[in-house]
Amino acid sequence: MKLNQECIMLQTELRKFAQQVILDTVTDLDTACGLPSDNIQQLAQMGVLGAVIPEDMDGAALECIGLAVSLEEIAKVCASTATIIAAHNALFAFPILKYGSDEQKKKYLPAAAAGTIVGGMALPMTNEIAVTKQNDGYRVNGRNPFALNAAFKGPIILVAPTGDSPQATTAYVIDADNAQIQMTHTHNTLGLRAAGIGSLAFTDLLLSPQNVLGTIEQGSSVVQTAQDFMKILVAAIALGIAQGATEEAMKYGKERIQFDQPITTFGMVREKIALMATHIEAARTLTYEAALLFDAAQNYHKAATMAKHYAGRSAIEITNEAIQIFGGYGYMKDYPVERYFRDAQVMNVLCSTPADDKEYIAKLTLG
Amino acid sequence: MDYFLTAEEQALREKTRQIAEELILPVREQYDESAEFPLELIKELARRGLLKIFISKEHGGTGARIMDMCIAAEETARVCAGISTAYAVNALGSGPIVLFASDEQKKKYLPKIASGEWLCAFGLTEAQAGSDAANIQTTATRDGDHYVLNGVKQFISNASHSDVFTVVASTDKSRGARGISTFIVEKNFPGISYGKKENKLGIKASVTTELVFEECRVPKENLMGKEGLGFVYVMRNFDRARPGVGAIALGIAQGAYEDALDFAYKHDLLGNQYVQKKIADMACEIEAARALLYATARMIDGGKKGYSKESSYSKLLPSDLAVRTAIEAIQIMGPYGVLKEYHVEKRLRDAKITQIYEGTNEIQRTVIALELTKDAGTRAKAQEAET
Repeated sequence: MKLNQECIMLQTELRKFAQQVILDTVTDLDTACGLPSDNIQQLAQMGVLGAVIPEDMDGAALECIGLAVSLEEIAKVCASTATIIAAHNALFAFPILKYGSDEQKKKYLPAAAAGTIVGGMALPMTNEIAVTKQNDGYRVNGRNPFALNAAFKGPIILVAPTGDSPQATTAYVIDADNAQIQMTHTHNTLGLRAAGIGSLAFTDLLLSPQNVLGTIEQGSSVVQTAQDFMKILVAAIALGIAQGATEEAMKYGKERIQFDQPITTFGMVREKIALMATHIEAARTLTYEAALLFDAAQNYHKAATMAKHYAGRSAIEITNEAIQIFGGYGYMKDYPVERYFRDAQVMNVLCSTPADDKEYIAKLTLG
Repeated sequence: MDYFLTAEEQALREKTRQIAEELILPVREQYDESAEFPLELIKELARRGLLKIFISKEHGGTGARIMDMCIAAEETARVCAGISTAYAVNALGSGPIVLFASDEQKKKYLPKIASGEWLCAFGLTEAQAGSDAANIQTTATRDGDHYVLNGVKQFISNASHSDVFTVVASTDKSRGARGISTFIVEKNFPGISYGKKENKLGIKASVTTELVFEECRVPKENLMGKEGLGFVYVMRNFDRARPGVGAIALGIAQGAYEDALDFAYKHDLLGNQYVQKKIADMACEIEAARALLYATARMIDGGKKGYSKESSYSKLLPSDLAVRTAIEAIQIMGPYGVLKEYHVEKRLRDAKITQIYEGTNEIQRTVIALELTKDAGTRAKAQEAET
């Protein structure tokens, strides 16, 4: 698929940054479950934190395809860093841009573009909350153990049931300085260990009418808007993971001699490489297609879900085979493939479950 | 399913499950985090009789039956595959002694291993000899009443905590695989040290290090069997040991499946047909793998000659299943699946090694295909003779 000039420039710039700056930090960040705050600040200057934000609000107004190729390049080196940017754009900035009041946009978007705040969302799929109606609004108690970007302790979008049925939900933007919400950095995820995944605890958190994003009971639209855009970006990250793991496996395979020849001369290894390359091309085509539909303001929801589902599955399969090509060495932390494998597992469960994705694709396909 | 286990086998299964839940379950997370060797725990498993199942009856064991090994490996791995590996490595290390050592050697070493007084490991792999196992560079040179060993063994499970090793070294490099010999090496022999401790994706309780020999003097009585037959011994030992890896993999798959099923039940997901399909497939495939594994174990214990390919089936299929099941368990559990406290992420990290150690699954496929080629050749010749 041919990318335009702007995309190619972005791709080149991000590839360079990933190789020259991010690469050195990856292992330590993964080991310690660190936060790549310095990298994120530099990436903000390159425009990717304000990718979806219009220029008049200090954003970079990148096309989705530009953001996708950027994330792919970052994820080839560090999927965690790419996920932070994806969640910040898709789960925070984009819904505020789409549904926010002028006041909310002014309050959050320029800061989001500059990287002075990193925003996130508590997706309903991991909400374990009880909501009670009171005179001044709703009170929330409970927790959400898997909130993207919560470790940055920035503003968070929370979607809570506010009607008689659980489907009737409303989205709220909650500022981090709210004393009724406690954000804890999660240090125990299999993969994406440096992605700032956090746990939220709500103690009598007041959801007041001025915090509503969009209108009352518009929560599911806000979630779907955020989620479906996020799916394209998750697909791009999964693609980057798969590409990164494949490049490592090829490099190793060409150098590793067994039975007096490089192991890439053996059919069972060649078959793996062939399938890895094929899956990557198919995933890339789906991902770019979804991004281009998004940019053309056409219906991208099905393509986005297919791209996420396929690229996520492929990343799992490809990173598994990459370890296999490395043999025993692939199981050791001295080589990056085990990290790619761990990161890959998170892709398909990041913003929706595989069962949800398949149901959604079936629904849109059957009509 | 009912596999018509004997009363003894059933008792072993119940006993091992009880021990695993009592002793391993409370500490599995701790060892996964600290990556320390569970020495006292392994000694306790020995005190409860779980090491003697690897050893022949005449030498303090209960018969070295493959079926027993499979049952114990599965039940321990169902709780923690890292600790299960640290335990089962003793079978891999002692296997060649059980099969090929002299009576004197057996008398000297096996009762100690059966009782857990001495732990036993196996040293074959080297940096340049992974799948190409015959390419080992470690040498054993005869010097009077001793052999002098030099070389570095890599990725050796339990090396730093074992008391005795079955070590594979070349006594005649010019003869390649036919110049390989095996030795029983005690940790107190001079010239042994432990190199780098590996930082692994999973099975962290199974401590993996280099085993280094520098002018290590091994008494000539510690040569096992005959010089030059070492590679044959090793391959024969692998044929008996591979079902053990299959059993560890099966235990992981079983554990991951139970985790996913319990989670799905608690979170009310079992009405969802997407989840139903995954759970049903898992349950069905696990029983199929168990049936294959037990059939192989019965075949080996029954005295059948030649079971390389069946042994490879029994490692290949369960290990692929373990990885697949752990992946699917995470996918069923969604974001919860990648959080440590739900345990399946550890199952996946542990599962991955079963596709690699004791011969990668690519090597298993090669072994199977070679055997099948031989079978096809025999059939073709028979057909030719008929016509």
